[in-house]
Amino acid sequence: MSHSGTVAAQPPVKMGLAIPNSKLCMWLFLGTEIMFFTAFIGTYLVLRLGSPGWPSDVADTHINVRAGGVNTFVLIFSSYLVVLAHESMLKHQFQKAWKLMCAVLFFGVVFLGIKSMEYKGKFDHDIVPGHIAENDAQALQKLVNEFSKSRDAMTNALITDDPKSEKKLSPAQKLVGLPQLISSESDTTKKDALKALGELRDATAQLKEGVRKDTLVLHTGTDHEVNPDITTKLEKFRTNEHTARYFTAHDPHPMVYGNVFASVYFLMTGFHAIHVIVGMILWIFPILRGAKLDASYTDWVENSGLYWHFVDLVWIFLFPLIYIVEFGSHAV
Amino acid sequence: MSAVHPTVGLSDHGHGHAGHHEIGFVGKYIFSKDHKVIGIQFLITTLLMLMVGGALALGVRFQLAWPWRAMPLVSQLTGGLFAAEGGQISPEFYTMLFTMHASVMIFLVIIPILAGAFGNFLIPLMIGADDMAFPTLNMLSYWFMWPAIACFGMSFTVNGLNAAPANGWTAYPVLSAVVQAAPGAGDAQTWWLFGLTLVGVSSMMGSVNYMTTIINMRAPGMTLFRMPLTIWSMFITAILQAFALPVLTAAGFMLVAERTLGFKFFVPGNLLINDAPATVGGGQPLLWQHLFWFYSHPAVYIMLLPAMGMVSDMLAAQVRKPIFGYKPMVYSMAAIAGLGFIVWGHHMFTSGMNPALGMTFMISTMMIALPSAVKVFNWIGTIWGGKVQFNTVTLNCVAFVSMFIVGGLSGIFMAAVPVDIYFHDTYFIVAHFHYVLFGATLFGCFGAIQFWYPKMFGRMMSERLGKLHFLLSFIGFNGTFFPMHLLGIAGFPRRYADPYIHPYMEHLMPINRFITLCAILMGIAQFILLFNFAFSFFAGKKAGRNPWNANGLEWSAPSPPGHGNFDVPPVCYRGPYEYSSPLSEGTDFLMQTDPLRHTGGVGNAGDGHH
Amino acid sequence: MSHEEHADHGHLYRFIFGLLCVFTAVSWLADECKEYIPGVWLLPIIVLGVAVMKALCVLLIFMHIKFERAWKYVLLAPTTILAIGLPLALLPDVGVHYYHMDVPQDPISDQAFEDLEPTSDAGHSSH
Ligand code: HEM
Ligand SMILES: [Cu+2]
Repeated sequence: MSHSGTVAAQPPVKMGLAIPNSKLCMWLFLGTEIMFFTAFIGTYLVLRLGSPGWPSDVADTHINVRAGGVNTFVLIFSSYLVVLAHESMLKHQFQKAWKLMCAVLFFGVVFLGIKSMEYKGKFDHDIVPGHIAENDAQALQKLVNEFSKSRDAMTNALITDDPKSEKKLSPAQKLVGLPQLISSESDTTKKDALKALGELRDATAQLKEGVRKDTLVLHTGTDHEVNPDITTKLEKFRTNEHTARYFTAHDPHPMVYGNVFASVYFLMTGFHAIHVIVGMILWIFPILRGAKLDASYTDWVENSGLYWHFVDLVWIFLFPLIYIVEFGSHAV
Repeated sequence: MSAVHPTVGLSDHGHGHAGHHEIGFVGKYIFSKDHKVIGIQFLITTLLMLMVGGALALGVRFQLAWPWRAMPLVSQLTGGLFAAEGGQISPEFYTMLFTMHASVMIFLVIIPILAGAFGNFLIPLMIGADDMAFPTLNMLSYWFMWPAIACFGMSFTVNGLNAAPANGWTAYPVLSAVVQAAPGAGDAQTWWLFGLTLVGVSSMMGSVNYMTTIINMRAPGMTLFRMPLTIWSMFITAILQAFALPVLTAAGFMLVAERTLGFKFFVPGNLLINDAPATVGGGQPLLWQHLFWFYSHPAVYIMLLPAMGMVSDMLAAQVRKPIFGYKPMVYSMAAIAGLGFIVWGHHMFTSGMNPALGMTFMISTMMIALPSAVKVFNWIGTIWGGKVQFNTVTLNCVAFVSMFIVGGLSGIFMAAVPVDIYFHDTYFIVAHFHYVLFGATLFGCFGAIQFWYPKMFGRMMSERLGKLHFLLSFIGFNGTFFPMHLLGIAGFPRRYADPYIHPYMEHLMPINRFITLCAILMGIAQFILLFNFAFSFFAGKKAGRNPWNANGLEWSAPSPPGHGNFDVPPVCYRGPYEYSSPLSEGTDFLMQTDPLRHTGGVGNAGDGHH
Repeated sequence: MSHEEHADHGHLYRFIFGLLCVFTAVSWLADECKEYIPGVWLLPIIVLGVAVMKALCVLLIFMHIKFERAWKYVLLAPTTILAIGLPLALLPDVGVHYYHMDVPQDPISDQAFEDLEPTSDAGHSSH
């Protein structure tokens, strides 16, 4: 009968627990949330322990312990602020509570900012589930694909279809006429660009041939360096002013079980980040009350606080699991 | 708990806000926050979905009885809508039919009819609250069902009209993870997973709400051990849902990510499936099976426990005897729930799972039969020597108990690894789960509809139609599912579009024809239920507050109860099962609200200390 | 409601916050000098142990579990058991295999990359 608002006639005996319904419900909900993350953490543990290999070399995985550590601190500090905010609500210091909640929201943003920088690093190196080559052969094949894609993108940008003719030419068909185009082009920058395209085409063809004939190797030397032939090509097209815009190939980094690794990484940190966002939305409501914040929001702050601490709690486990531990897996 | 004093002078608290503000039609009947309306909405929705699921099942049955024949009527009427070539059921479509049959029946019928319909309607009434703890959340939990239904519907139509997920309701990877695995299942499987997630969200909102309500909103004097078994069962079900469902939701997200974003969890490297490129990665297919059954075994109890609770209440009222062994009933439900969390592996005996785990799961599965048996004996003990009222409610309850015995026994068969290696994926399994799901749960629901209909609408349902519906359903049911045991023992596999290509199964065709005819009979019988449901709304005999002379708090409220439920906030003085008590002079029941006689525990049900 | 019971815990909260910072520093340090930590299991034990300590601090003090009544046991016991039990049950099957798991990641999957050539990303096999 809690929502009826009529307090006049309270039943003589209150059954149940001496906590508000909303708090009870929040705790029960947190129970379900624990199981939700248990499924993810369990998945991570068994996939990791059950895989004969697991990428752990930071040079490959681009796991950034600093960022994770700073984020841990950010969340812990915001949790502390939440506790203070709730205390202030209880003491009816609503403006102090309001400021503290704003600070919590701010640290939520900081957390997400650091997180997105980490994500950007991953994307830059194409450490994305489903994109990762698991061995040398796949890495080379992927390299060829990326070269071809860059070549085609550049071709389509430089050589437009004849507007008068109906039929659309494929990039390969367009490239057939490249030598004539170069010789007939008068504009020097454009001429250089077309020449660069020619070089890209040749490099792509060379790599492809190497892969097909099995003559191209990814690593050379004793210390497992990437084949200088490949690195120079990558470097050349990345720095060339004409090709740079179209050139999207990544350094080849084969990682055994890299796809599973990237999958669980994004799964766990992604769902955690979603929870941070939900928590921030919860803080927005009392903050929007501004100067009108009053004791009616005490339960709200307490319950949102519980949620926020839970999000912190999850991160406390994600940090060592993702960023630190190595179960002695053989890095490749 | 301390003694409870009669509540005098509280008379107009109950409908505290009933008269204060007017609610428009939409607020009252559509986006209602009243638990009774939401319960009835759930009930009608699930009954409609029952018919949809039934139609899909008849498609499956038709193919098994008359393989590759054009379906009569259906193929003409729909212009080949449901069939590939010339009204035939193609093998792919057959796979889709049984997948969607099971999905609809489990996620849109059985689970929501128990927790959603009866849970919503009964919980506040039976514990003496004026509504759920969170009415808005409650409303949302109903309105999340419709997007779920829409997603399941989408999975039928996105890839043309012959599309649907085709991986069974269990959606095992690798086939469910690789888009090219089943023709037509491309986006359909993804929609199906979205639908599943939405049903999950709906159940989740319901379950935390139910738990909060039951823990914190009981009427004064309603101690834990004075709660009707229906409430206990709903409570335990809510706990199961709260702890098991998130795991499935998590697994569902993983599978969606695998299908659409290129994540790798379940698919191992180097598989060639249809015309898909070979898979890359190092996922583990068994991981899905574990996560799925970690939810779905507890879920089979989510699909049963509430019916067990309701049957206990109905049975005691219909045989005019206290329920036999109230506390053992509670403890055995708790034991079923607890054990239910550690038996999931019995679905994976033949999956290549670690044999050591197989042994463990076999033993725990056999243990779960013990509390189940305790309950069965208690129901029989309740009926024994009672004054049995021979009506539709009793018939359905007795059907519940007896069909559960059959289903439970076949369950123990399959719990033994060596036996299951033979029976797994045969029709024996199909017989088993239909005995527990249809035979037990649905008959329990049929009884519950008849029993609580007067409380919902203020009128009785027709007894004559009810008995006819029961009789036809019961005959049709046993005719359909009992022979499936025989099929299973003969090695007839489940999920095959045409098992008769194997000569050793040709001679099973006549049994299959018989089964299909019985299934049609059973399907037709359900129209009687729908008719009775609708007809009694207008023409049923008017019912008073307590047409069954039952004890629960809900029977002290008006029929149908107004907004806010009770005219006086009820106070509970005793357990719910004091029938034929010598203390009740003149009558044979003692309502929980009856303050006249303070009593210890007759039939052990009344002493409420905890 | 239950708020009246709370004494002023300001001091305690500050102490716990400090403790959490120290714990974080410890796991960071452990990572910094992981070359010097012998064996395979010591590092996980250290950092996960630290994580458990931190979780307890947050749970007991920040989330007030220490100050709540007995319902906390009823609520947290099943969750904790299930949360530990699920991964443990998965371990013997998915985590540790009784059969050889190392599927060679080569010949046919190379085709995967070839088939997809110029249009799609490497390895994006699910489309
Ligand atoms: C006495 C208790 C029970 C035991 C020992 C038991 C045992 C089993 C076993 C061993 C299987 C797996 C068979 C196989 O696939 O090879 C199974 C399947 C199944 N059981 Fe039960 N069961 C019991 C009660 C129930 C109840 C009460 C329900 C539902 C209300 C239920 C629903 C199901 C369903 C739906 C399946 C099939 C799942 C599928 O593969 O699609 N069972 N049962
Ligand atoms: Cu099971």
